[in-house]
Amino acid sequence: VNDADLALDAKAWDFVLYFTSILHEALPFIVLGAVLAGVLEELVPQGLIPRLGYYVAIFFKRYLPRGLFRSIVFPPLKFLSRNRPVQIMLSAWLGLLFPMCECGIIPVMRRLLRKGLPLSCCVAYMLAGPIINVVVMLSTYMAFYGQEKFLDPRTNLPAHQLGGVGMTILRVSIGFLVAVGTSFVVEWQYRRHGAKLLAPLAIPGGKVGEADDADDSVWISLRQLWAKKDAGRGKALRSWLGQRLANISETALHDFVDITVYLILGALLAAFTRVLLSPKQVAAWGESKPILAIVITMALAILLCLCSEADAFVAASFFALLRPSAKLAFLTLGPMLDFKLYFMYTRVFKPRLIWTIVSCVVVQVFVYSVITHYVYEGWAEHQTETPSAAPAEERSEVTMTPTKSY
Amino acid sequence: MAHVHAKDGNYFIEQLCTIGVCGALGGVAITMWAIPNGLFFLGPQFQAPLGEPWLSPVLWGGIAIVTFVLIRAVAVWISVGKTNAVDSHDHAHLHDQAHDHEHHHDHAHDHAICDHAHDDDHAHVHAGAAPHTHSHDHGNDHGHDHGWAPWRYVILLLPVGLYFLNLIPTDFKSHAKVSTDLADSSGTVAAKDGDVITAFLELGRASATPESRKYYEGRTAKVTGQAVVNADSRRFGLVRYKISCCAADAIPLNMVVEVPDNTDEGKKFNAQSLQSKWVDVTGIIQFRTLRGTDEFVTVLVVDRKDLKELPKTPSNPFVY
Repeated sequence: VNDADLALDAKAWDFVLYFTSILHEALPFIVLGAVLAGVLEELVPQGLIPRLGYYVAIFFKRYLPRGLFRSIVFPPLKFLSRNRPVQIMLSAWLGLLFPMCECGIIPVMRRLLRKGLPLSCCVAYMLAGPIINVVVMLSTYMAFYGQEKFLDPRTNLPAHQLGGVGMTILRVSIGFLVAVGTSFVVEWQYRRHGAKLLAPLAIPGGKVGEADDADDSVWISLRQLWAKKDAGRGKALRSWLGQRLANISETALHDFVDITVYLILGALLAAFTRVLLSPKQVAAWGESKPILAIVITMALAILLCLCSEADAFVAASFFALLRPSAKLAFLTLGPMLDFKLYFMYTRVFKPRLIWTIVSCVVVQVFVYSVITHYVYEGWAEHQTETPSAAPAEERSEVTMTPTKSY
Repeated sequence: MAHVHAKDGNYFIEQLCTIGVCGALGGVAITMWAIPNGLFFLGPQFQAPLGEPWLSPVLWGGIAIVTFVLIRAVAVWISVGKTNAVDSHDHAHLHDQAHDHEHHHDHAHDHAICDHAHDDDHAHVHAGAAPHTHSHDHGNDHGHDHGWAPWRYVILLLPVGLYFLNLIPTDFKSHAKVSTDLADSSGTVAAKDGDVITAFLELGRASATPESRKYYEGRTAKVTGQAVVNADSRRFGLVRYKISCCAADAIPLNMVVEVPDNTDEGKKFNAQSLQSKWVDVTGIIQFRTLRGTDEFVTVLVVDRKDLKELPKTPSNPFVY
């Protein structure tokens, strides 16, 4: 056996390792997403979500004193129910309430779309959710913790990297801007083209024949069962429950199969990329060319298919010598677009909408990263010209603990 | 079950495939959790959140899928019984169901339940199904979406196949080169007292700042890692991988092991024989720059007798 064969054998094993680990990491979240999708599909009546504002208003009107309702509660509700831009901006923060990672969010979003949540709000939640949630914000903070004190290994001068707080704030704000900007474009497209933009399964069900009645019947039939007072009620209720379980399991398994197929394809491509090229070497090409570095990290974000909870650690380590703007581009693009997500998008959107989203996201991430780069480097240059007065000894006490972050 | 295939073709085949494939995937997830070292390639939050292995999301994902598969199997079994009871004029309705894979077809039974038991009379089943048979939108909807596509099941069986072929990866087999081209040493480092450092992670990041270098320099370390050799015969790289979520985000932690010439044993040390072997080393920590750069690396100066080759991969090759 010669060396080349051994090397190939080793690469094949690593390929299997990358593939298996990406798959088993993502599966639990896909399962969670599929189960939520099944429950949503079966138990949320069609038309509830579009009329949610109306129901909330009715509720408040009934239970709040008249004066209070008229003056305080009603105006913002009315404003919210009619103002799509504000709805979109609020949807982008939904991840704080319902944290989902980028794999699990797709089946849930598809069913929400079917149940009548506006497309642009769904897109805002889908794009921003994997960035704007507590878990991801914490992991970003941990990964970059203390990096603002790093010295440039080549010159031993302050490297002016971004620390945990700075990187987290920038990641969240750029992620928010990109998600909201893209959703505005999607809203405009949807008003022009309507449901033609969506894959069949994602088309809002309210417009499809008698589906409305069919869904409401889940609860209507329960009410009818409950109203019956004879001996058969218990049996009928059990049967109702069994039927709901059967339906939820069918939808959940259907969505699980549907999404997992594309997860596997994406994981294969990502594992292949990872075996073929070393991110660290690729990133080294951009070390002295910051704008090229942004392009390189964006390409890597699409190729590597990392989970948004883990990508900050990769960026902090592999891209340690790149400027913060390039790391930022990696961290904002990765959760919104990569191979596996592209495949999953095909299960929700038609190509036209996918390419709208892809181009909006890519262009915005690039533009915002470049702007951040010039603003930040301008600030860093200013800092260098006016060096801090703190003597070296004082600094050393602060950074006693090692700060190289992995 | 033979007549199931004969009777409505794709719908039941697809249901059976879904049940089989999902069950297999769930089973693989559970066994990966159950076999020792099976999930070492995932972060600790996947192996044992809060230190409890039974909280592993991989396990619960598997259990959830298997549970749904069981429920689905019972539901399909019952509906097979029903369709068998329905006589042949019902064929059109069944055919329509084949295109309508959303759960709606089950509402048929739902309506029947209002009046109760399943094998009541066929008229009810029929009546309940009627609105769905007439809903063309649904027919169109699901036409493309759910076309019988066996290739999907082939792809889904890939992880299952890997498992049964025993292709369960345990560690990385190919390693990036580690540069051992150090700048000339500025003399030996005096050994310092203090606890022996055994954490690879701690040592790997120790070269980052001047303060931590001052703190660690001269202390003794005893670590285990995988040898990565290059043309250098006295020095080799020692590597271990740190995982945050999964092996795809693994980060190599490198240090350099230097074995000084020692003529006592008569034979000259040659690192070449160690390629990819796991070794246990005990030595003094130094920090040296790579030739031509100011980048510091952790160097362990190890006496020949303190370098032990391990017979096999340690129980956990990764650090977290």
